[in-house]
Amino acid sequence: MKTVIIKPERCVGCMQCRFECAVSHSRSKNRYTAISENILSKPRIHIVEIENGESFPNKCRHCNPAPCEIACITKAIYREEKTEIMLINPERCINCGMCAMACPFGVIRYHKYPINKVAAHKCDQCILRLSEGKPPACVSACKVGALSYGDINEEMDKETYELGKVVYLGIREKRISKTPMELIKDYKSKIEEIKSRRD
Amino acid sequence: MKIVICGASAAGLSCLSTLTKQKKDIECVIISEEKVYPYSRCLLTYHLGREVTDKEIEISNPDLFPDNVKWVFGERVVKIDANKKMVFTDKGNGFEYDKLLLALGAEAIKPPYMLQSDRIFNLRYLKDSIGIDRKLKNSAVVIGGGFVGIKTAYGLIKRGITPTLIMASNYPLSTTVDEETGLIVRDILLNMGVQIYTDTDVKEIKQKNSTLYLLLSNEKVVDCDVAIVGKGVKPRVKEIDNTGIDVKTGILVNEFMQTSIEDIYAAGDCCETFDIVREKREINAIWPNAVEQGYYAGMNMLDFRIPYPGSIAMNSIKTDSFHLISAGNLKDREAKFFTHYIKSKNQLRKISVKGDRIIGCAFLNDADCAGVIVELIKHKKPVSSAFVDKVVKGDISPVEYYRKF
Repeated sequence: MKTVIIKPERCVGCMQCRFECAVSHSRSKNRYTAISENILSKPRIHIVEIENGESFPNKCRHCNPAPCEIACITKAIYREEKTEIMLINPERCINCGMCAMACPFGVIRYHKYPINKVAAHKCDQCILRLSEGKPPACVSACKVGALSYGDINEEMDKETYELGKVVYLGIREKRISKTPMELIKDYKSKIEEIKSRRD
Repeated sequence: MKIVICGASAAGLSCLSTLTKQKKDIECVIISEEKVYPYSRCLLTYHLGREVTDKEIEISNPDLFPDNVKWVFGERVVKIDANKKMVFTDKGNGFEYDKLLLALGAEAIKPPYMLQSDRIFNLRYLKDSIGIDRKLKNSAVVIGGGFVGIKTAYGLIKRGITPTLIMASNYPLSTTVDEETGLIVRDILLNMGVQIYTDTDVKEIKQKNSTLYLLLSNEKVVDCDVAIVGKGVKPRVKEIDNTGIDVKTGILVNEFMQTSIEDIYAAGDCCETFDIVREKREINAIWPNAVEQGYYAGMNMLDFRIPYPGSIAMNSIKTDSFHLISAGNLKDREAKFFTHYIKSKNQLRKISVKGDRIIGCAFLNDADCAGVIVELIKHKKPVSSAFVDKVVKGDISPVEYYRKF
């Protein structure tokens, strides 16, 4: 399944993703007119400010099995079968608050939808944009690479390859100096040093 | 493999959809006592408040299931023969099984005075809601101050009827939340116009024409069209009396949702499962737990052997004026309480900590991250009291937990 991959260490908390998210879920889908709509569109990604002023992008993980789907008493929350995205049907939702209790990541809010009804509100992975072949709005808005869209396994493979490369370089460097390192931590700091040299 | 599911509500349906999703070559029979399509019991109070229609209350459409699922409506399971592996219904039909799921559910507790009048109802089945709808004109009394009682009262308010709420305890939701939270909820309900009698029980009931007169233990008399009793539920275990399945209050199950007979599984409100907070077997009869148990029962029936981690008591109640989420145990005397109440916003955050574990929480009008705390309770995650203190005061979001570890 392709999903939005978050690298919190890169996030600077600029909230561009929140703005784009709200715009892309508005009726007009236009940055200039979205703010004057009757029912304001609300962002579905949250930036949580944590210690040391760092920020943490928090959005729906589309879990499987999904606790919100389990908790939903009206079956308003369901899984879109083809893309495996969890969606909310605002017409069925009766705003009982069960999903907020069940969501282990605290991403569900309750807002008014354009159909003039308050219902549970969370990320839908921009399913409409995806059908047009565009990536989710938050991903195209992110300027620092904290949000990317791809297959989680492929992304992890890429990271593993990167890591393997620097580990290999680190070991080779060590062999030259002929004093084996005792701790994995030492390897790590060595790798950091090599990495910074490469940059 | 032949699988018979007794009961087509939360646990039964969840098990059925798990089975059909995981395996194609099984034969399923699902037996329901009701004559209508499966509906969501939790929506009955909304149905009473005319927020959902008879059609919207349905949560599953039997026509959309594959042909290997056979639906039996309007038949009650009366006998289970564990040796012959047969289930018998009251219409005389017998169903053979390889594996059986008991999702019998629970039924509302009926106090003795309910027999005296046909204007006293529980709100457990769709027929109750329809019955109330027929007899209700302009006044109603709700007996019981639990989650169902308050939700029923809210449903009545939505209909334009301000009910009287009678409860035996000294504050609403006394079984789940502590006194402070309960009293705040009481004040909110009073503001909504609900008349509340605490520490009161119904002594006598008289009926004259179409009006009920309730004589309360404080000698007051309340008159109404209908009275709705929400005094909790008890597991339905009568059906399995002579089968040899271990039963205490509910059906006892192990972590694989098996009863004492190997091929018989149980899930939902009828069974006692492990309570993570209280660390003993308990009945936490709420919809999300039943659905979860149905899922685990289904998976274990197919020999995936996934242990069920256990349930916790939790509930959420949302009205136009407040949203309360409570979970775990808020009444433990040995626990340390962290509380923050903002009067202007009518916002309360309360977390109880025992040792280095959160064991209970109540969030009033601040649902944003309640789920994170519920998750920490469920998985017994260790936390520092500094973290809890900051969360309660609203300085940091509990989501920070995921960043730290």
